[in-house]
Amino acid sequence: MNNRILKRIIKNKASLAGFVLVAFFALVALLAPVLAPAAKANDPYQIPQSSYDMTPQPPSALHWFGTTEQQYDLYYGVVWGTRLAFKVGISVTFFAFLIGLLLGATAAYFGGKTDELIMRFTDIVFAVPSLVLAMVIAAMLGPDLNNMMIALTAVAWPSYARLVRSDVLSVKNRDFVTASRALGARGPRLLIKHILPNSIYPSIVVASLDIGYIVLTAASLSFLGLGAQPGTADWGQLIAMARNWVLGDGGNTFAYWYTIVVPGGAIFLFVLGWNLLGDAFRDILDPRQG
Amino acid sequence: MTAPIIVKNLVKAYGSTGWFGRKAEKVILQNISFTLRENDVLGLVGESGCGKTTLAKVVLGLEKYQSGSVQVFGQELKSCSKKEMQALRRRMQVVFQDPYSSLDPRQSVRQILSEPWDIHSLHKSKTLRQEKLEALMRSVGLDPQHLDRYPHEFSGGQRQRIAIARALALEPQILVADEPVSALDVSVQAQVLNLLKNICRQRGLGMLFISHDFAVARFLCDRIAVMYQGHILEMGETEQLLQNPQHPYTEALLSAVPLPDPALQKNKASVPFVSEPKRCAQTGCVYAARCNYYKAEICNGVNGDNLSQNDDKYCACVRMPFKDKKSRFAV
Repeated sequence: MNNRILKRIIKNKASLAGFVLVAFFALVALLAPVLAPAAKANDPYQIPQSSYDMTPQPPSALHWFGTTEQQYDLYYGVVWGTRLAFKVGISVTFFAFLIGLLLGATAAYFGGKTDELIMRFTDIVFAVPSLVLAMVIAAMLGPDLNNMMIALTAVAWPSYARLVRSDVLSVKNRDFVTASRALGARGPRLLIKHILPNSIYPSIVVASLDIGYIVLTAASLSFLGLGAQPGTADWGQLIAMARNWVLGDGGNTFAYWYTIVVPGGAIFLFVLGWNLLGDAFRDILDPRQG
Repeated sequence: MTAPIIVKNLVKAYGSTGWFGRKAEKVILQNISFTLRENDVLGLVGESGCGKTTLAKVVLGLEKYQSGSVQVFGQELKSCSKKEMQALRRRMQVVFQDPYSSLDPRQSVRQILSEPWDIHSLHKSKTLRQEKLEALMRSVGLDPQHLDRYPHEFSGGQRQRIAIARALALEPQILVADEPVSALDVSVQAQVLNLLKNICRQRGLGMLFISHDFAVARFLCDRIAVMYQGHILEMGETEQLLQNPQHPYTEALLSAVPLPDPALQKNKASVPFVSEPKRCAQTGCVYAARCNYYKAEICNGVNGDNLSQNDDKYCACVRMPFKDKKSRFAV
């Protein structure tokens, strides 16, 4: 089965591009300590500063991608930011998926009042625009990377809950589940052996599409100052530090282009890669929506 | 010993209570009574939506029921503890209609057939299990070498054999077969029917066989019960019932079965089969709305369900005494 997935990814140019992009970023994240040796061993996500000068410096032999405000090294920031992006994207998606899975499966399996209670709560979370809700939660918890991840998880789980619920509902009355009940199987066994294995795939597809989106939202929160703190190797933070240098002065509009293009490009390619890969997963695992 | 399944005056309704106390209730089974004896094959025949499958699920303890009694091996299902229910499940198994949805697509045949033993903690030793699995595969005419294949690698008939094997794994005394061949090709139907017949004979199984096809029911069943809108309208020995249907509905159903010979089909005495109600249903006979012999003064206000004296031979038509059809027309 894995072989089949790989073959189909390679066949399609778009999904191949997605695969290559994600693989490239994964490699960068893995090799971060080699590509950009940590400045501070105990906190590698802290970008080294060469001085406190406000004006960004263009790419040079010393700073390959240039420096941003206060002379933070962009190359270092982008490399370690990749690792942070994976960390945020994957852990937030994982926990949101887990919460959604638990709540959605419980709601669908037990039905009745339990279902109403869980799904109406889900509706309430859905009713608030997710970025706004994430901002409120992050602001309440205080600006910090971990708090931002909690806030993102808190707004990302409802879509999984709904998805898992609908898929469990459609599977739980299929004949093979009834047959298993007639054999004497009870709740946990039915859920784990029969219902979830047959209903989890659409959610995995959505999760793979979500990783890019989560990283994008995390960048927005960091840009607003609700996530990573200044000096952290976080793409959104790097863009936040470029806020004052979008337009250059003295007739040279694009004087400080690298402050925006370097972290922005990283986010763009990362999200694009996950979206293309997620589309490929969807085509392969879930032909219904194709 | 008491009969394996005794159903008396069973009533089953699906109901739901809305958010603000609105109640919607739909009665699915009304006043059902029948007895399934040992080694007896009872057919339940009726058009789709008449409650056959629901009845099967109630008997299997998969659905609750409102009133009446369902006794399986002498135990009332309603008052069964979980433990007692679990013990009953070992003695009573089910084969479903659609072999494409009754087997978990993500499990191999080995896993599917082992599940009953896993649940009831039976045959734990590896070698014993392998032996049992192979014997099970052979008993339904499948190659034991195919144990590690997945359901999608089998044809419909083979899948239905796997489903039958799963039902037999616990060596039950009763089999409930819910239209086990209606999803299959006619050529394969015969094989599966023969298999079921042989299994019942060899193992002395009783079977509740649900079907909408009289020919299939005739082949397997000792007795047939005809169902309509949650009621049993007629019940009797298979041949008697088919040769000399007593209830107007049975008669209409039988005459709706096409004959394979066009010449015979043309000359067949046909009783119009009315599929849509002709008249507003009255209180009384459930079939009044579609009946060809309806007479308001006789049929209104009579509940056919109460006519039954006997659980084995039974007809829910007030006009049953007029056995000769002419006299029935005459009234």
